[in-house]
Amino acid sequence: MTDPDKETRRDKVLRDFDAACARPTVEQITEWTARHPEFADDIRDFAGVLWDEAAAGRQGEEAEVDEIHLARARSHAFNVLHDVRGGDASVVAREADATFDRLMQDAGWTTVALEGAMDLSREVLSDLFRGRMAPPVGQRLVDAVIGYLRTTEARFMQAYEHALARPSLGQARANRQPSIVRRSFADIVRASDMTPERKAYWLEED
Amino acid sequence: MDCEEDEPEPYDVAGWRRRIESATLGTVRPAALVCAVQDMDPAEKRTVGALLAEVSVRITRILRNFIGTNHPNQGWDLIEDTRNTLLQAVLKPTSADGRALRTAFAGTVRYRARDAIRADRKHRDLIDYALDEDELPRRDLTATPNLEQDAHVESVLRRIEDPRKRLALRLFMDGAQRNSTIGFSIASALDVSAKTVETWIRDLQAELRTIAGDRR
Repeated sequence: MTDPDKETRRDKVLRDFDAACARPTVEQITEWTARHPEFADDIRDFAGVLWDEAAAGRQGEEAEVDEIHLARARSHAFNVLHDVRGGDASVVAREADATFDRLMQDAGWTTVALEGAMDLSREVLSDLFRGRMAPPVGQRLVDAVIGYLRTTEARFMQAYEHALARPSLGQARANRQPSIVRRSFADIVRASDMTPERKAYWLEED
Repeated sequence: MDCEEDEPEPYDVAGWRRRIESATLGTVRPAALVCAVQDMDPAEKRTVGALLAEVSVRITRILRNFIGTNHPNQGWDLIEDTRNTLLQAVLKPTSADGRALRTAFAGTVRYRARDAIRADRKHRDLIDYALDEDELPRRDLTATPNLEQDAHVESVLRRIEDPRKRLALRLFMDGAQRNSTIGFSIASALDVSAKTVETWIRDLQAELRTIAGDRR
């Protein structure tokens, strides 16, 4: 069982060790492990991490991160905020002003350009934007749209809820009354004209 | 808290909203973003959310720099776990990280990255070196091949899976360069037998000699 108090003490020791020793010498490791026998192995392990890092010869503080992973980082923040401070769905809905059309416009995309960039069938994008995709939307699609539209998961959800509340019709069929047929994300992807590989990609969970 | 001239004060909701709308959050110091998230009226959920999203981006860039792609799933699992810890801390101003991120953002994220790698290694139980308690008499272990081979040394060290063995040999190579007799003290510092360290060093030396031979 984890002892939170011990975790806190370990963290304090390692944090101080980190601040004091960039590349710990034998003498420093000996000194710190003798001073904190309870965490001696953690200190040694931490020393190993510091040495490996020094040998890797990293430059600077930050690395380049692709847009999909940045989008995921943003949506992660909203999830944590929601978990820690409680549901904000009602606030978001009340202030809703994001629509997919507006998000597209703000980011300078047309549907044609976006479906090309995402290598995604137009039907899928169109069903999403026009409120014909039943929740939940596949995570890969959410992440990709957030990434390309340079927006947040909260804004995405506003736009999605807006679309669901005001669905628009698909292509008119002469032989029956127009109606809204809402299908699941997986059904829409499977029925689309994409290659099996692309379908599998969008349906896969990370 | 020292804000820069053009950074809104933490509680200045209108100021932060302008930065969000003009898409200029990217130029704000991350520590200032953390202060704003912690000090702003929690009812300003959308503004707080946008600021926390930017904090999350900054955290991710630093973690990506320090957590290599040699971990499972290119290191992304470790990055996301660590980011989760840090985002929770941002929202808990009384926590150790929650306080530290206000003043030493990069250092705190960097420490978390290092500690995540440490904990992950421990979790994976990679430290499974052959413990041999037979103590041998102290010997001079500094005799090492020509050190012109630094790059080769690193390439050999990098292939060693046991982190403690790798550390022992890094410390040994470092000591050898400083001409000190440290084989025995490495064993004591790392709590492994002198015989084990000696075996590790001999293996390394043999491998380096092989490489040197191959290059002739």
